[in-house]
Amino acid sequence: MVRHLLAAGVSLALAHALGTSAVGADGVIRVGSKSFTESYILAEIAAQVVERTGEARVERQLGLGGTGLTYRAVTAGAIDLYPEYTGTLAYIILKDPALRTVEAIRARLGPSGLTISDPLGFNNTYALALRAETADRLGLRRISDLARHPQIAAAFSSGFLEREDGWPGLTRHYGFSLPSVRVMEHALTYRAIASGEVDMMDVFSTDGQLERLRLRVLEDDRRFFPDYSAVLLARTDMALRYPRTWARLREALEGRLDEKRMSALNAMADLDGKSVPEIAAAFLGTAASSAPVRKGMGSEVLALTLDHLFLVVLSLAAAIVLGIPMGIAAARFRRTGQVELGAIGMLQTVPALALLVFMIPVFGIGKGPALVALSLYALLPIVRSTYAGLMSIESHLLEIAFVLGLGRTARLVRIELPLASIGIMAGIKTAAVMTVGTATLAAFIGGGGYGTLIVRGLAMDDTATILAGAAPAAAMALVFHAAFELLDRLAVPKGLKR
Amino acid sequence: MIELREITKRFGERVALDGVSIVVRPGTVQVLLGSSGSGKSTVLRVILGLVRPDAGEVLVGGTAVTEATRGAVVQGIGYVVQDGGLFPHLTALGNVALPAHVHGWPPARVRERAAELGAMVGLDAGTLALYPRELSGGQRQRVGLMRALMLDPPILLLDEPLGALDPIVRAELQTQLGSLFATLGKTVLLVTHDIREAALLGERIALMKAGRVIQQGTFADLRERPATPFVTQFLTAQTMAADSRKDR
Repeated sequence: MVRHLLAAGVSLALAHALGTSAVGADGVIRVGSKSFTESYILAEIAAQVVERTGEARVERQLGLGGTGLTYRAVTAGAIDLYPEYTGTLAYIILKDPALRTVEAIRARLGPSGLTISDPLGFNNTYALALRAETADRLGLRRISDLARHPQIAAAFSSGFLEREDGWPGLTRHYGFSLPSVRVMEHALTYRAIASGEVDMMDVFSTDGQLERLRLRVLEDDRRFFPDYSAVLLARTDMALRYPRTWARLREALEGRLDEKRMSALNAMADLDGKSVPEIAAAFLGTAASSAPVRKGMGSEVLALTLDHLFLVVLSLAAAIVLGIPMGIAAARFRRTGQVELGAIGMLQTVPALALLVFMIPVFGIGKGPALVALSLYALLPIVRSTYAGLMSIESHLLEIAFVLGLGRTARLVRIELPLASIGIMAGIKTAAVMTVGTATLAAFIGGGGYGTLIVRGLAMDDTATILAGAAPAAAMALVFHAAFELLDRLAVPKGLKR
Repeated sequence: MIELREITKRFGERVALDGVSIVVRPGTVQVLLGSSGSGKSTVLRVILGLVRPDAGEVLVGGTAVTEATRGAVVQGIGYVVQDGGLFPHLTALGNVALPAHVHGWPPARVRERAAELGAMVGLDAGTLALYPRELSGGQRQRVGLMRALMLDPPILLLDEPLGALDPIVRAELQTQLGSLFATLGKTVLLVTHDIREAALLGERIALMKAGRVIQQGTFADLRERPATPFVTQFLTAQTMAADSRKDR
């Protein structure tokens, strides 16, 4: 009975994994985004355009983390398109600052099977901003005007202060510097500038707060900041297979979004707490009601619960199936065992997120690599506890087993594993609770689960959404703990219980 | 028959056994007497192939004990240790039946043999259903003895079998062991530090000190014809201690 249930569960799980990670299936356009507000909004607009064109179904893979991830995903075919910036394409992806025009970038992307749309209109680059009153009072309009006002108190994010395309390059390019420059966390700086503690800060030119806080962006009169014009980066094969959709996407987005408009859309998400689908629908001029019906938060959490459960159960099962024999091997072959334990320990020092990212070149994005990474991560507590459980058995008991005529296998099955069972179960429990937590990171590589809400909430600075993902994850960890306490009663021999 | 010939064993710097030669004749009870650390337990472990001697040779039933033969050799040996050495995850019956299970005995035969042994050592079925931690020290010791006798081996090795028991239970079990040895007619090698136990159970006694056999013979031989002053000293120390306790 149990075996049948297990078999059914595994085949169901496999079907689920294959179903969601299949690449290039016909009739579907996969839209991706990075994990910050603007990228979510642009991707959602694109997704709704695809839906309304009706040539293909749309699948959203939003909030995939940074440039490395999304670019690999689009080249691997795990997604078909996502919003990108010309500066990022030139400097980070193609690593050729000489690529100044959209045409040049498009030509260079061609051999990789990729193409880009024309600019969507706005340039989301670094910029220096002051309160409008301060700027007016001092007559500041351009960056070169700053040379005449050394008393300006500036606070910059650490990235801007260190990057070559930030403050160091800028001061060299313009030939002046400011005596009073501080490092400050970005969100805090917005508050500090509003209260007048700080005069000037670095911003992205489409930040939602610019308008609301009445900040003025200084003109980059000597053209120092690279151009970060937004474009759609897409797979050429998608554009060829769905020409009508690609044409509609370009028509709907190219040249339609200036800085003001984009900044306003960002503000709707960041400051007004509107949902991304709502904002996208509003931009496309469709009433929110005619926008695709979105499931409520409740049913989304339910779906993500199944998703999360799937990730945890399958990766935990794999870790148990691999980990217990590895623990046995480590205890039996002491010398190689130390190497083995060392290697698995080292695996654990790799931050979980980095491990997930390392999976991408081999396994792509989605559930597959997430499962592999989670299994590897759950391995250590199980291997270690199996090893420790076996090593802690008093040697005279093993000698007696030998004298009683028990061979190696009989000793392992009848004596060693039952005696080590308390320890092994403790290791599995630790791994289970840990995996429930770590699995929230799977969302960064499109693996789904509760992390989807956490990533989205983090990107939009929306605590309620973060909690909608984090609280059920904590609850699930508790449920797992309780379930394993029950399982203990079955797995640990009665004679060993206190 | 067990024969140890000039067995020497070092653990690092420490000499555990230094040219030990002992012969246990079939059907006799030989006691290894000595204080703790004298090497007597190591003698048993060498016979079982659990410790490989640096020099010398052990023969059990004519077979030299080596890495290759030890698996077969232990099949003919029952081994009893202090406090029973029971597996905590198995019931008393589970412990007793374990060697029979390994040999693929049918369940009926296992039950029958266990009941027979239970009657012999005085444990009923209810007690045998308990886990080791639910048993008294004396009961654990009896279960350990049953387990060692399960396959009816010709040789019995006992390592301080009664060492962990209180004096009353100990005396009772000593008597019981004596009659068991007499009825079963096994070749027995028993390790103890207790002179009373040695005198009561041992047909022959080997007194050990610092890895060497100081004297072998009957208890009367040791008492009346001590090979060295140490023999007398060892024999009288415990009796005097017991006497002085009585005086108080």
